[in-house]
Amino acid sequence: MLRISNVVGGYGRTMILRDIDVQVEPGEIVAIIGRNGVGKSTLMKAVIGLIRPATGSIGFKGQNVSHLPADRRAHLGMGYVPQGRGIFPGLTVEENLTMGELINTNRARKSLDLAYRYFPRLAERKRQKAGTLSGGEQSMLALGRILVGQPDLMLLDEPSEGLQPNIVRQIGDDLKRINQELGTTVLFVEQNLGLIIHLAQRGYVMDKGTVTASLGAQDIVSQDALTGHLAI
Amino acid sequence: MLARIASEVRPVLDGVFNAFYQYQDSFAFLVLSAIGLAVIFGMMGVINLAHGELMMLGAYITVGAARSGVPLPLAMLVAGAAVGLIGAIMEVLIVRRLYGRLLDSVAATWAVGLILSQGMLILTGPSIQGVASPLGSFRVGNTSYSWYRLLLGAVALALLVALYLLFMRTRFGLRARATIQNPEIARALGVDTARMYTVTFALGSALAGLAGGLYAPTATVVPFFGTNFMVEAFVTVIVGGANVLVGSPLAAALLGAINAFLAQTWGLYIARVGLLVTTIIVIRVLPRGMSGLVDRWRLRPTGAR
Ligand SMILES: Nc1ncnc2c1ncn2[C@@H]1O[C@H](COP(=O)(O)OP(=O)(O)O)[C@@H](O)[C@H]1O
Ligand SMILES: [Mg+2]
Repeated sequence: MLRISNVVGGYGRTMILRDIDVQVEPGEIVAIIGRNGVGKSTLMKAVIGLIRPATGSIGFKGQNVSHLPADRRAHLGMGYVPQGRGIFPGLTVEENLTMGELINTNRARKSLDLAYRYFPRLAERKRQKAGTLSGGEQSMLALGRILVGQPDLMLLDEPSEGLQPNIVRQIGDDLKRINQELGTTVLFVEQNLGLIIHLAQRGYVMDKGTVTASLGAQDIVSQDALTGHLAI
Repeated sequence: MLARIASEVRPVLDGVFNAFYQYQDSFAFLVLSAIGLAVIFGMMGVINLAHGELMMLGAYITVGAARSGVPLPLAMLVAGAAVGLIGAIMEVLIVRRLYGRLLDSVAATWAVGLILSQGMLILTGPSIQGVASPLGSFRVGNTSYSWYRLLLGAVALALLVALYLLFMRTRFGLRARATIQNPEIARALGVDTARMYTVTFALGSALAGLAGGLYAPTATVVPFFGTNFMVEAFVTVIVGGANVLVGSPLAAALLGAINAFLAQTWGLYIARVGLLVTTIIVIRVLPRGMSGLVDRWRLRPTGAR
């Protein structure tokens, strides 16, 4: 589904990512773990195409997309939720969801119903300005928005950030259902160990702009196992 | 008895009509002067100082087409389309390179404006023969009024409605509004933001060209035609604020009343001073213009957790 090979890149001349290799198979849920400032968000931006790698390549569904801008990668089926969710506060809930339509242009029929099915709360609020939603509702909106496009790969940057623990669990359940029912592949950046254990099947640990460890299912079973790996 | 009442009421009605006529005339002038500038500023944050010259081009193209036999309304539409195309070229060649650099884009568009007006002066001389104002006039009381000026009022309203529908009811409009709010996210969701900006700039330019064409029959068409509109255009955009759809009509409604009243009472010079003074007061009280006030009110929390 996704193959990141030897990627080096950053902002202007400052290189943040150093020789990153990450692979995600179809249908997997994979976590990227690491402390603040190690380059996780930068990696996600490189995958969606908001920054271009200086060297290395990014393959998506067997196609080299390194040279494509973000909008073209979205058309190919990547759905990206940035850190902080990136909703459009001045647009209504319905308008925000409609903005997901351009994702995955292969899937012919786009309907907001898919978003409303997984997040019924959004249907109740569809005429409301997105800026007036609570944090949890804004997270649902950001996920619902990409769901409308039926992406093959979801790229989620810290979906738990700023949310109450019960809502984090709820979002984890929703993502699991989406993955199982729709077969959507998920690559997510996360610092919340609870959500990582709940959701991830595998993971990569990042430090100082590069991948320092690859975690299998057995490494993600408990907080203790995880913190052990993160301490390296 | 009835005749006496009629003779007393009549002048009052004449006065009311006169006030309405002057008001809608000012309103139309403000809206049509500003609309292209407002779309480009509101949707892209670019201050297009070539706006007046784009209006001038619209006037020249309208006159040129009309004098070579094209029906006048069609000539105006042709002018809008042609100036829109010129705007698209201008965006791709120059403006695109200067996003996020407000002063550079101001200087660059100013330079384009100078080239256009000086170029027109060299090409066609100090003025060209215009076209007559169509539709003739009618009398109410002792005053004569122009049908065409009334039509301009209706056109201004129709354009505002059309823009509202374009930006609020179409996919293009939705994507344009999303792009202003957050270009990076819009792009990550599949919007070709570069093309969005080109189309928006072309739309603003086309509106300037159309407006220039609409006013071509009412004034002498000269290379500095555009300067007639610049004060009104800027004042409306500044008072209106960044949200074109809300700001421009409100600003034109307010400024139109002030302008019509002052022009009627003390003349055009005082009316212009009045517009500028009002603008200064509005930006002191509402730094983000009238649409800033409206947005703040609309985005207020509505009791959601
Ligand atoms: N837009 C930017 N321009 C320049 N440097 C940036 C930008 N965004 C982040 N950085 C820098 O890149 C590094 C990695 O940031 P980031 O990828 O956001 O880390 P993480 O998501 O792991 O917390 C940090 O040192 C940060 O200061
Ligand atoms: Mg981050």
